[in-house]
Amino acid sequence: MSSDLLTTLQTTADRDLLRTELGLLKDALFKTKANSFADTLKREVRASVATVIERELRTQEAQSEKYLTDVLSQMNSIPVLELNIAFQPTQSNIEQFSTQAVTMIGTPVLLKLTVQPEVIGGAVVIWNGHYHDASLKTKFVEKLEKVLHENF
Amino acid sequence: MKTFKDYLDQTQEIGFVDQIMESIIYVHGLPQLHPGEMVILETGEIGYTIAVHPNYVEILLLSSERVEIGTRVTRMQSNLKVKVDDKLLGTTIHSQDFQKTIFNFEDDVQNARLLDHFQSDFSQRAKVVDQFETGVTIVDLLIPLGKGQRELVIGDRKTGKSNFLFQTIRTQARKGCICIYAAIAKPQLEVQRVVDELKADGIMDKLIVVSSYAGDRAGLVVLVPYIAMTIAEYFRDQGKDVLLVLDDLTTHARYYREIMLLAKRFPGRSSYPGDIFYLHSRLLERAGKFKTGSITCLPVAQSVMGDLSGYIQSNIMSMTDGHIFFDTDYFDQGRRPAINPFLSVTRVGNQTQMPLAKDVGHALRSLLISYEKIKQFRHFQTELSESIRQTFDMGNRAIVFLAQQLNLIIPLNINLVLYTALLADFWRNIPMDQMRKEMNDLIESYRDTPDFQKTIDDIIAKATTFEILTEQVRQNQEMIFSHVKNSRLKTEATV
Repeated sequence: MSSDLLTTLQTTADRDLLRTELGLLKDALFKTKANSFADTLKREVRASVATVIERELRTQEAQSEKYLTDVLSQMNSIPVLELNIAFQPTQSNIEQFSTQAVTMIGTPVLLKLTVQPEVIGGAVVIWNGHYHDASLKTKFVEKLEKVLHENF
Repeated sequence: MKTFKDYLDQTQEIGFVDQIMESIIYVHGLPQLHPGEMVILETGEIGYTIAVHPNYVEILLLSSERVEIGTRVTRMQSNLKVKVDDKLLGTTIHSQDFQKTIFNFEDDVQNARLLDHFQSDFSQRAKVVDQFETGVTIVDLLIPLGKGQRELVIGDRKTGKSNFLFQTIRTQARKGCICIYAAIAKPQLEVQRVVDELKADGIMDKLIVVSSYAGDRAGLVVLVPYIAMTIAEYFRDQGKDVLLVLDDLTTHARYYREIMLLAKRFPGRSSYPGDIFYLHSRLLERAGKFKTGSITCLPVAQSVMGDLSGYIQSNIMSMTDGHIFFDTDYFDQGRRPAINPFLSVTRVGNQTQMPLAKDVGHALRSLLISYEKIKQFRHFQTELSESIRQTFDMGNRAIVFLAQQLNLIIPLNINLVLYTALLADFWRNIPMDQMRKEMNDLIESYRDTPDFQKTIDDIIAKATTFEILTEQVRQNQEMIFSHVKNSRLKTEATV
């Protein structure tokens, strides 16, 4: 069963952060100090994530360790769409990209965003080993070469 | 050469390095990559695909530069090819220069040949009919080779295998044969010494050395015999006879094992991967006699304590048309070359020998067998009859006749005459040292005096059987011995 935690993920940075939090929780399970898991959930994990985990552990009556392992495994299996763009995206941009990508691909997808100012505009898209250079820089270079070739 | 970006734009496919295991990298991405295809890293390194899995591919790197996790990789859309032309003659190609000098990455280059392929066109093969002269008496008479034969050279370390190979290379290069020496993971000094010696002999214009050193990247070491074979095929297709020496395939197998163990292949016997037989047989199958030319292949295998039943050794033995065994016991007894004629085999070479050489070979072999039997018999301190003593003495002389200096090349025709003269008692009661010296004088005269050479060649041409040859040699005894420095006959005549 898919966890609600996964629906909150949009980028690989989100995934890495969640992975760290789940790792801490998993470690806490094996500490001998009383209430170690609850303490970690309260102190080390973001409130929004902690709420979802508490709810799912309560409603699903799952074992904590199995629950965390399953979430980590599901999280690792989400494919990554890599975008090289020219500007630092805002949260709103990221949401737009993510929504658009999920709509186009039809399955949950994580964005790996890399800022490369030399791209100028557009984006370089890498998906499942396929590489597509839809950057303004490439178009610009092509056009420039054509003009130079025709006139000189 | 095109850059990473060019290939990326062309293929529109990308992968990322996930894991590095020495010369193997694991890459995810590259959905259309096929086994054997070349890839280029964004740092300019080249590799080729050894396996394709659903989620990742295994790439064998061809250079020793460091690679980092996350490095981008793209396809080159072609399998590994080698640029071959006549300019390679006289050169030494080292594995560190493969990428710059011999690998082909361009699209429309003439004479670019696939490094690894099947020799499938059986109709192009021909029967092995011509003898392949090595210049080494014991081989030319007792274990003859044919042009296009694949003969394993096997023996322990330091038993004279390499000396035999270089004698063969010298002999063949002087006859106009193209010689290719593949040094697989050899010490740098040894390769340099060999090249210097062959240069000094003035045969470099017929020689190509493909070398790799012991510390080179395993991926490159493994490619050396394939590169050498591809070059050999180029010259064969030009109608030339090629001698290919692969020195040595046991080391090659060890490097391949290293790669395959790193690639987590299941280890089989002696930890070698299951496809080690296929690897070598596929390579050696490319040699042979063809309608256009021939590739005579001499793969080398190193044995341990004279054991011929090792895994790789017996594998290669079963792929080749015989083997020449260098015996440690013979070496310790001082025999040079230390070839054991009783444990050596030639499967197709006998059919290439002229009838006369066959007769002489039979006579010599029978004598050596009798000699060995008598030698064992003598251990009991038995009193021997006169005829047995004579056979024993003749056997001793035959051993001296077969002994050969490292730098001496003995043509087949003079060998036949010398052995016939030996059996005809030309050297009866003459000390062994003097006999060897006189034989060497005759060999030198044959090499340096065209008239003498012509006379000997005429004698051989006229003699169809061993009896006729014996008769001819007896008739020409005086003329033959006149070419010995300080000849006994001359001295006797003066007295």
